[in-house]
This record gives sequence, C-alpha cells and structure tokens, in this order.
Amino acid sequence: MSRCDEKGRPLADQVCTALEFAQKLMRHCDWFSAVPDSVIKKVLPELSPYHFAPRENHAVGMAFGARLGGKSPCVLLQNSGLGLCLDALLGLFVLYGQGLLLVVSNRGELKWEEIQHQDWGRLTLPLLESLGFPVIDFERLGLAGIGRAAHLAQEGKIAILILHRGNLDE
Amino acid sequence: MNRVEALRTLFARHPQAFFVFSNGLTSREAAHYLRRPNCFYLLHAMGEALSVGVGLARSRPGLEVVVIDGDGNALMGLASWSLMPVVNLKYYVLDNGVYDTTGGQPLPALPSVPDWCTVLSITAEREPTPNPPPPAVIWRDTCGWLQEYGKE
Repeated sequence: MSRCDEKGRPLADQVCTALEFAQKLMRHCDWFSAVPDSVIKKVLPELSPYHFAPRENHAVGMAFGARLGGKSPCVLLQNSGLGLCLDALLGLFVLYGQGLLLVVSNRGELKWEEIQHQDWGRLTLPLLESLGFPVIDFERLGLAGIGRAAHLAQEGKIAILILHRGNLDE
Repeated sequence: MNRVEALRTLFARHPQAFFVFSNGLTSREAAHYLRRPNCFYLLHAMGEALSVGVGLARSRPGLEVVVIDGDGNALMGLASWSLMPVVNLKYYVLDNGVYDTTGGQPLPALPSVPDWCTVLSITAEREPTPNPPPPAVIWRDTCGWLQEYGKE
C-alpha cells in the first residue's frame, strides 16, 4: 500500500482504471443497478444499461427482476449497503436459487477514513464469511477476478467482488 | 371486495400481462386461487415487489408487467416509487389499512398516491390457504412462460 491520494493519505494499489473495470464488467453482465459511491463514481457512467437505485435493497430487487427477464445482473454498492440489502439477497436471489455478481467497495478499512465508515470496514469481510457468500478480492486477482466472480454468479452464487479504496481511479 | 375478488378483477383487466405479487397474503391467496405460469409470487423480501417489477419491465420492454402490492408492502418499499413511472408497468396497491398477514396491526395511510399508482380498497379478511409452491417451482414455471413469451 504505497500509493497516496492528493492529500497524502495512503491508498490501496491501483489495479486498473475505472473505465477498464467497467468494460470488463460489461463483458460478463448485461444489467447493472447501483447506489452511487465515491469509489465507483467513475465506473457507473461507463456502465450500460445502468439503473440508479435509491436504496441498495431496491438495486437488488431490480436486478432480480432483470434476472427473471433473462439478464445476467450485477449490483454495485458501498459496504454499508449490505446492511440494507441483505433481506433482498436472501429473500430473492438465494431463495429462488439465482446468482448475482455483487461489487462491494470496502469503505472504512483505511485508518484515515472517516469514523462513520470504520465499523463497516471492520465488519464487512467477517459478515460476508458468516453468510457463506464467496468473496473475490479484486486487488489480489485483478481483472481476472471479475471473470471469476461472474462465473460463480452463473453457478447460482452470490459472488462478492471486493474493491479497496485506490484499486480504481476516482 | 376481498383480496381474491380484487385479484380476479385485475386478471380480467390485464389478460396478456405478467404479474408480480408481493409477499404475504397477496402472494399466498394468488398462488392458491389464481395459480398461473404468468405470475411470480414473492415469498419473502417485503417491500421489493415494485423494484422486482421495474427490473423485469425494463429488461423486457415488450412485456406488460403488473405489480400487485399490499399497503404494508408498499409503505415499506416507498423509495422504489422513485423508479416510476415505467411505461410497460402497471402498479396496484391493495389497501385494507392493516398488516393482515401478521395479525391485523393497523398501519398509516400511504402519504400520497401518484397517478401511476392505483389503490384498490379491500376488506381485511383472509381466505384459508396452504403454503405457496416452493420457490424452485415458482421460478421454473414463470421462467418457462417468459421464455415462451419472448419467442412470440
């Protein structure tokens, strides 16, 4: 973790640009719904078709409707959104045996990040482990991790692709 | 008008549509009295019937989608109203003023009713119903219907 932002705060290593990330996602998925987050702010405008959601549970609900319509959906959200969408994940995708690629920005894992993110930064990975959802670390696997997560989603899993702050340009 | 009578009315009004029912008694009575492959019965995920319908309608623009919510479900999913209107989606709320599924607890009225939302008043009563079909069966039947629909 040698990179820093313009304020000198340490960041995770950059893996690729937001544009490259979006292009790779679109090779595997044909539906995107999201609640905006600063880590993915340059990704969202590059995704097509992109559907804004006012809450993460509704992003998941829309993605499930798209899955019903024959699409391969992807939802993008900040880790705190897991708290809002967990019932939709379990009561829709898991209950009906469908897979989803879920991109989660892991806010709050860097010491300088605001205090309101710190609890989620500490709890996101243990929470996902307890849920039994497979977790793919984007920083570790790079762009190949997107293909890996998409494959798991095609197998009917809730595949989590974890982004760390700095992995993409903001 | 009770819930089943309201559902029959809406089936007659939209003979070509695909229906999404919110969880609880709406899905339960629909699945028992009006079991059809052009219907998706939510078994859980309260508050998500409209967002599911929006995702389906936007992904299948040639399909007429009808979402039927209970008033408690609609209240829980109010943020999803910001996703409307969707041109090929009709939205109905069956309003009996109580959480019928959980024992009749009263709930507040919807704060407003947009012109793309139709509220039907129904009586607070329940018909005897068994559990709906398993989720895998619901998924299989509806996806089969949707695939066939797409070929037409």
